[in-house]
Amino acid sequence: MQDFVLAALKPRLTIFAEAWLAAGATGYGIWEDGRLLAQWPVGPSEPYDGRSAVTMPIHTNSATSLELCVTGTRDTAAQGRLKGEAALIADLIHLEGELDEMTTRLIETQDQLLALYDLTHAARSHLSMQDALNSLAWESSRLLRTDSAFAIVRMPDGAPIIAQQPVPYLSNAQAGALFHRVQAGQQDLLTSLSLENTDDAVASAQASLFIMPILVRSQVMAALGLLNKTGKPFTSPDMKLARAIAEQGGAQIENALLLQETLAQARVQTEMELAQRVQLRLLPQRLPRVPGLELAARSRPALQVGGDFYDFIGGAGRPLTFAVGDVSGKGMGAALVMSMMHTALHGISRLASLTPAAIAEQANEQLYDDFTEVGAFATMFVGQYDSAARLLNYANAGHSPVIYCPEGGAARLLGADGTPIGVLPISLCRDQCLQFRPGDLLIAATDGFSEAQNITGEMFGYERLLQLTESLVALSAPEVLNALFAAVETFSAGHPQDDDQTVVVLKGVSA
Amino acid sequence: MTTILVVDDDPVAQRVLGAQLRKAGYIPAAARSGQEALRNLAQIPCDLAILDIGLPDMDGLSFLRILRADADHKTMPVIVLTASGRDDSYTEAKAAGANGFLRKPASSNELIETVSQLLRPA
Amino acid sequence: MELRSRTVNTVTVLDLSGRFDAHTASNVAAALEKVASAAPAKVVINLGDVNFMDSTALATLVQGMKRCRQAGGDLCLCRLQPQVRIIFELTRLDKAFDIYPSEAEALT
Repeated sequence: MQDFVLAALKPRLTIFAEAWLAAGATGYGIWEDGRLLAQWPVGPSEPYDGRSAVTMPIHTNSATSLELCVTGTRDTAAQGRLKGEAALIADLIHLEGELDEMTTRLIETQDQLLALYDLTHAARSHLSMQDALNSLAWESSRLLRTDSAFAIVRMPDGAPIIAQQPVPYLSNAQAGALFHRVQAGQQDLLTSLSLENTDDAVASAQASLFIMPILVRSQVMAALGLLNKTGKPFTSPDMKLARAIAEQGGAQIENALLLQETLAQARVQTEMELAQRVQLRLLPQRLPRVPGLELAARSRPALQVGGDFYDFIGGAGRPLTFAVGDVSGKGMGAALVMSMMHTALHGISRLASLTPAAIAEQANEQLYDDFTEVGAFATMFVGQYDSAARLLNYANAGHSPVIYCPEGGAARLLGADGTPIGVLPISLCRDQCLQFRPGDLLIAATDGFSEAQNITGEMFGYERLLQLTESLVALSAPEVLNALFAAVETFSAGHPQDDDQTVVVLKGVSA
Repeated sequence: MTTILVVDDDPVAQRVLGAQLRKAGYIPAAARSGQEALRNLAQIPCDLAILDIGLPDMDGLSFLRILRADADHKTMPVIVLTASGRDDSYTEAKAAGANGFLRKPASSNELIETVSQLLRPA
Repeated sequence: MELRSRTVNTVTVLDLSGRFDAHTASNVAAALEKVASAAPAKVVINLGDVNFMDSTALATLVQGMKRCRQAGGDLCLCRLQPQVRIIFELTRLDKAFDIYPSEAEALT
């Protein structure tokens, strides 16, 4: 019988003993397997005197045999009385056992709860998946008192992330193999392993391992493993606590995943908004007035900025010069490149009155290195109107669609002769010119128009654009602009706008 | 045979701490009040005391000060237990002579680690 | 989009197939960077099975071409499908790249 159980029984036994002694008995004792556990009156134990003793067994589940013994009593009802006391003591022993069992379970639960509090507290400040796993492995090893612990997650894109704390004993290959085993078996794994890198002599023994699969979004995407390098086995309470920690770890991994996805989305959102603002700020605020010309211009950005730009450069006293272009790529990157182009063009136009090809050449000169650095290029059409001669001079660095339609004539594409800005170290553009009389129409657009898709995936295309231009040639510039956008909108109804749609319209009018 | 005196009036806490200490191989001795604790100390040699601050008859810190004033028990390691979340409990306890500090409920690992640390020969 | 890499003599041949656009360009960019970082930095890109290219894809090829030329080699294209050929003509990128009808011609 354990000391503390005996200590719990003593007060009751003392009451019984005192009653017996008061009634004239000489001694009262409790014996286990023939050995005296306690006696009353307290004092040096007397040799067992079998003659005048009344004994009664105490019936318990224990393997030892317990007895109550009264000596020197003349009570004829002694047997019956002792029987009652033995029954009561047996009940007390039984209850003590139950209480002890409950205490053990309470401690287990309490320890589990405290471990989970610790785990949650430690996990709060972690943003990255690697951090979350490091924390999980560290806390698991600490709370479960193992030599090491490892946590492994296979991310949605397939890349595994492994954390081993406080010391890595396994190679990545070993950890990965163990993960696959629990993933395939969908259950806990108890196993042993020889460690590969062994610095200390002890580690040359087999390490014992307990690995648990972790469900993340209802699939086994992760695992938590415990390692004892000396092969020390894992107890049942340990494994129970480990499972609770593993489950909590699953929740933390899900949180880390969610956080990453939300951050990525927020980043994209912010980038899109920023890019749009950059683009909007840099587009011309007003249309210049030019004798002999009617102008209209508009840019309709797509959901994700596509890098279109248009600009009127050159000041008063200079021929109207405009540029329309498209930067490669999308998003913030494209918006930034577009702003570089804007700056370059305005800088160039301030210096001197240059021809379109010269402008394109200067732009290429200034921007080639930077564009190479960021891996971008920009198509660009530069037009310049000579009001006196009614001539349109132009240079085209890789840009389309630019459509010219003379009054009463057929519409045609003004093709590019030079490569886009930033592709080659030298510009291949040459100045070209055409007559631009009252009634003539020029549409300098970006491929957001020609590549607009309808719900069946068919593109608007150049043919349609040419035909449309011919049909609009009698209208004013603003009317042409509206009609262009309306036509493309109607065509692509039901299909989202993939790319920016930008156009500058020039209509020749009598001065 | 390291004996550890557990001074706490809460019977459940007594059972829990007793079971935790027993599992680690120590012998717990129970006292349900400051007075009983002083009586026990006079009769049984104890190597360490775990003391609940919220005792009924005398507050735990007063008991600690009495203990420290006594020549026999001046250097006995004492761990103070508190259910309170207040941080200043710690400084108060240290000032009164406590060597260790645990919040209730204490995990088995933390309890045993603190005990074994304090029992290590200096 | 599928990307396969082969070597013929000292020239790396990249076979691309499918849509070559912003989503698939980074793999190609990585492959080109690898070729350009080691002599002789010569690559032929087989676009025979590429049915679509966007500006990001074009920019990737331009960048690869520049890197190869910087490293003393070159990048050229072969087997362009008609709709892709048109893109190169419209943007005049056919003046920036050497474009061949067959792989054999590209390799000489």
